[in-house]
Amino acid sequence: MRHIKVCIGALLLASLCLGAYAQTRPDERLFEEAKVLIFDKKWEAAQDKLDNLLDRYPQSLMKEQALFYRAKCLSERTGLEKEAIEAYESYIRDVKASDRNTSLIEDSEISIIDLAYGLSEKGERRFLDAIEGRLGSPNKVIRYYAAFKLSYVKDKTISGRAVPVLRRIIQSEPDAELKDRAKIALLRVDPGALKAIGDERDEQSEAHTRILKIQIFEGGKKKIDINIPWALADLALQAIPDEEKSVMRKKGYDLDRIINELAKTKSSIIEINDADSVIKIWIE
Amino acid sequence: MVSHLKGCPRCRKEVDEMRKVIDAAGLVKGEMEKVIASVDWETLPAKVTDYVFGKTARPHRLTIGERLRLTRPWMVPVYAGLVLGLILGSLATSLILKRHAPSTVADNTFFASPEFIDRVELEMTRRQTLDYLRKSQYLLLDLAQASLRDKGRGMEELASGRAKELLAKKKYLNPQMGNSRMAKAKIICDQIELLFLELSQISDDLTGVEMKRIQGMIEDRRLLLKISLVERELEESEV
Repeated sequence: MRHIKVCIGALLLASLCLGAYAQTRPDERLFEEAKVLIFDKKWEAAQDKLDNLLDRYPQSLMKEQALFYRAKCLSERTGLEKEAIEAYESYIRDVKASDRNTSLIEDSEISIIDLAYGLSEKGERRFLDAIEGRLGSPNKVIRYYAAFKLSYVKDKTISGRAVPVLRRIIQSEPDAELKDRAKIALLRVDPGALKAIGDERDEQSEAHTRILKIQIFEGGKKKIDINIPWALADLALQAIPDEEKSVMRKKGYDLDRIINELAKTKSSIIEINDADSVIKIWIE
Repeated sequence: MVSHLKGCPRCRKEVDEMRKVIDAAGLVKGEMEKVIASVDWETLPAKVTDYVFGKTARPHRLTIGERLRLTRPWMVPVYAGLVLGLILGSLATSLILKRHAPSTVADNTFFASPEFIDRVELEMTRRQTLDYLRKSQYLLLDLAQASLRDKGRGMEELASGRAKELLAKKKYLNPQMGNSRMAKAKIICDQIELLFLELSQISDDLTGVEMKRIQGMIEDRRLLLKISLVERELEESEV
């Protein structure tokens, strides 16, 4: 009798679930299935579902989101970068003002920047315009991202166009992480501009112009020679190659000790000598 | 060096002194070379002593010709050269000993090789990814534990706001996420990003079905466990 009750209960539950499933609209169901596939990085299968949804239910409430996720699927598939850019642009252009989702729009713009950079690296330099054009975006995230990405371009005449945005980040952005990122980007593009910002601030405070200097000699030859803002000191010291870091550790120096010693005795030099290498670190 | 000299009167003075000495040396250089070649260095100390103090006693007897050469006026540059050499030597020694750091007169602009800048940026990304994962973990934990009773208490709005913040943070990590050292972190961060994209679109109308679906994704993919594992790896793998 007890078994029968359990079976009836299970059947009832199953019928309820099936009922609920049947109540879900077919376009919604397709959309949910596509999102699960996207989550598992099955881009092609997910795109098929979304294409299906867009073909069969052009009036679906899911249409806008489906267009965004379709562009995402294209962007993740090799060789379809140009189609992906078009799909994102079409999504940004066509999405109704009332439906505009800032996160999805922002994500689309950032994806266009990434895709354009990738294409420019493959020789299609005209796509750099898509990045440069976003340096003037009213959206801070897009503007900053375009500047950071442009700083990777090897042609300094092009990467140099990111300098005004990078300078503004350093001068007025309250987020310390973003500031550090901008400093690194400026160091890559135009170290002189970074120094100039330091000099401008120097009128108010000397601390901003302090330079961390690292020189590493191996077998008498200079292997590493760095002048980096003191603000990036801990990152720079952490980025010293493993070989030299192990020498430092062997001699009892860790990151905290070096930073503390340098901060305490500003003008002195830390010199770590090993059989074949010499590490010199100081502040100016 | 030029910019440093502009701002450092002490070094500027030293360089001016050096310049004067070098200029003076330049005037007699050609003549000095000829004369130095003709000097008998063996007997020179005795000759110098005799010349300066006018003593009659000599260690050995010089020929008339030798004596004439030593006392003639054109020998003066030889002695001047010797004195200059001593001055230059001592100046150079004092400059070397006075340095606190290897290149106090060095260029004060920033520079680093592109490879080193990449390493610095990678280290920054590692730290920021750790922070991103920790914050994401808290948000996902909240979501995984949320029940329908929480509905309408502002939980959805809070989660949506936090998801938007984390989405923005993740974007700046993307350029360095392609590095092989970040490969595992990239996989999990991308999955979290997709979940947050979902959450960012939710306002206060998160239905029970949607909540269950999000919770299902967190649980089925063991997201919280994976985050912990990647966090540990990132902590250990300092650049």
